[in-house]
Amino acid sequence: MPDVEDEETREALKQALWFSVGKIVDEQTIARRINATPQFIGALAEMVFTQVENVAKDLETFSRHAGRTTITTDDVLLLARRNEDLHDMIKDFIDNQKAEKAERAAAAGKSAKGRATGRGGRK
Amino acid sequence: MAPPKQAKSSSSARQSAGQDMDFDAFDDVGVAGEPSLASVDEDTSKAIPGDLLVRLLHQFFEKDGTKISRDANAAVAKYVDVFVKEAIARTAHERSGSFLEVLDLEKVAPQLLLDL
Repeated sequence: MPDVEDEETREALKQALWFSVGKIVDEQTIARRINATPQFIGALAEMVFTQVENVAKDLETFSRHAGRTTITTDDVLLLARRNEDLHDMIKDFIDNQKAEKAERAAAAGKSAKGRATGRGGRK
Repeated sequence: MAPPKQAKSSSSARQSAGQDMDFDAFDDVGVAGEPSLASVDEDTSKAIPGDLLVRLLHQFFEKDGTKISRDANAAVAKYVDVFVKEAIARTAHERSGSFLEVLDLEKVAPQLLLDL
């Protein structure tokens, strides 16, 4: 596992994540009119990286337990099983996604039905 | 209060209504010039890119042949987004100064990891 190339991709991914987390932090802190130290962003990115690692392994285990090799949205919902609010948020997100998809499919075939789920209307 | 300012405050979502000094009006221009403020509370203006997340996840999968559906990946992206924003919100609540610091993050991290 710890061969050089693997370690390199790991570092590259970590830096990409750092960059993305930094952008979210900037956006959120500007909205709150506060500041964040670079060390904070680094520590948070590190935390997110570790969390994604745990999540990936959980998801893999869940899907295998269900006899699949492909992770589905059901597995993701299982991730949030202990936090009801989080579970609801992700359920809403998935349902919206499905509704949008169905709508797009319907619009492609015929004119779509009522329901005003505008573009970018995630919630 | 001056009527033109009232009209303006209804257009810009974020303004304290109780002030009428001149430099307040000046300040408002700055606020109104920042269109991101209104959209921040909505979702995913900035988020972890889906492509990055797929690569991260695949890096961590231990068995060969594990795949993830597009919808599931988007749901995980949502999860990570909640995670990051929750971390920031909790740290902002905990902070002592005007800066988010590692120490503040360390205080909220254990409960955050249990909750999410």
